[in-house]
Amino acid sequence: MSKAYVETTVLTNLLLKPGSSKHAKAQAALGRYESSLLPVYAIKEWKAGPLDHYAYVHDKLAVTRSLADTIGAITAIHPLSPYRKNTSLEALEAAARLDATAEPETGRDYRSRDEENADRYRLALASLIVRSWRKRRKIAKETIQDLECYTEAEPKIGKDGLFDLKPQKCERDRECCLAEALKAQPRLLEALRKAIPETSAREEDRKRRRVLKQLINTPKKPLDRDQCRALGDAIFAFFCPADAVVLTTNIKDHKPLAEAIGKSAEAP
Amino acid sequence: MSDTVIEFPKEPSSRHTPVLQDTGFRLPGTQSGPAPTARKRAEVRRQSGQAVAPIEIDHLYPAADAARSDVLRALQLLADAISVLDQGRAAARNNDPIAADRFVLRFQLMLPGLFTCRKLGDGFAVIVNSLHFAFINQHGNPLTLDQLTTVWRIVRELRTRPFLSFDQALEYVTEIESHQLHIDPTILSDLLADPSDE
Repeated sequence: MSKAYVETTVLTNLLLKPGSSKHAKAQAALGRYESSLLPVYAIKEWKAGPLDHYAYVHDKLAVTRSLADTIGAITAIHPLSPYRKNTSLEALEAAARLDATAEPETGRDYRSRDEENADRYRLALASLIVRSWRKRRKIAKETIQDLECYTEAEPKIGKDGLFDLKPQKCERDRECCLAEALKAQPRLLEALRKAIPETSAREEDRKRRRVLKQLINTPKKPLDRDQCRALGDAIFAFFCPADAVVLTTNIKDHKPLAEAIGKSAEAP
Repeated sequence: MSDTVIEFPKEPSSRHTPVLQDTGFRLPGTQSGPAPTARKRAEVRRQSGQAVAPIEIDHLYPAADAARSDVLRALQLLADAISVLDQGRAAARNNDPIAADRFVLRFQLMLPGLFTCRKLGDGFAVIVNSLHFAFINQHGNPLTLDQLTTVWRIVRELRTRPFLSFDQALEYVTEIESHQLHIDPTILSDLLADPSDE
């Protein structure tokens, strides 16, 4: 297979995980294919998901002005949160907290050093967020399948110091621009629906099955922007060109969908 | 600060409608005399007709005894940094990599001090911060002459424009990155979970 159809997880590793083994792996994977294609749908998902999570951490640092408090807060939010309580973050949090007990000989107190660290990571995040946005259309050989109902607008830092990532969704008052193409292939929609386990307890699977059912049974009903978003992984399988493979780190979810309609998904 | 009028090179045509030349704006901590009054361009032209050389940053923000602001500190530190990087480049050109790296190490040690002047603005701060993480990510490896020259040039430009905007600063940051200096803290990649980690 000569073309890679870049999915959101790979886009994220390429843009938001510089210097990591995941970045290197994704970069190397792109080199294996003759060409790489990035659908704008991946940019939309990336902005509304991973980039938004980074912006949240940035904003938390801007408001708390404490690295220790920010790491503590983001890792304690929710067990299903996208933020990982991993060893690196734990180490960073521990180091930041340790400063509180060890009174420095430099004369600077804990609070000022914690604030300095918060500023360091806030600036690093702000820089990465804006630079990654500007690189988004350069990571693949071609950026394809523009979305008429979605405006790509650069993230901005407001006067309050917080990120504004709007718009993250498509326009509200119109049907999803992908609807017509989807509705024209009911057999593919049916196959995609069957590939999602009926008994799945995952909310995203249930939503996806529901939207696919609506597209198959009541095609006259407009597909709105939230339903388009719920289709998620199914969109990649559906719109992946016949001579390309879906390139994703989430092979568990994408492989069954792609194979159900005679396509394939590969991990970097 | 003396009440010097900053004159820009004379325009070829004098038919334009006169416009205000000076906003009267002064940075806090740099004004020792009265704020300048707004003067019309035509009035300035009458006083001095010839083109004037660019104003040195030190003349714009001269060190006054009473003023010990971040601006003055940053300008002094940046001047020291440029001097050290100058010597580093000279050593590198003379094929003395150890001497060159010694000068770069001295520059690296100046970065925390420069970061304490970050109230100058996020533009200034993001450049200093990017250099800080670039050195961390170098893991002690010396800079190439090309990288050293890029850093030297950007530090020089930062000294002439210490109040650049965040957006303008990102152009320099991108330039640093384009010379194979990794400016992002690696820990950022651990912020998000990935389906393949499950």
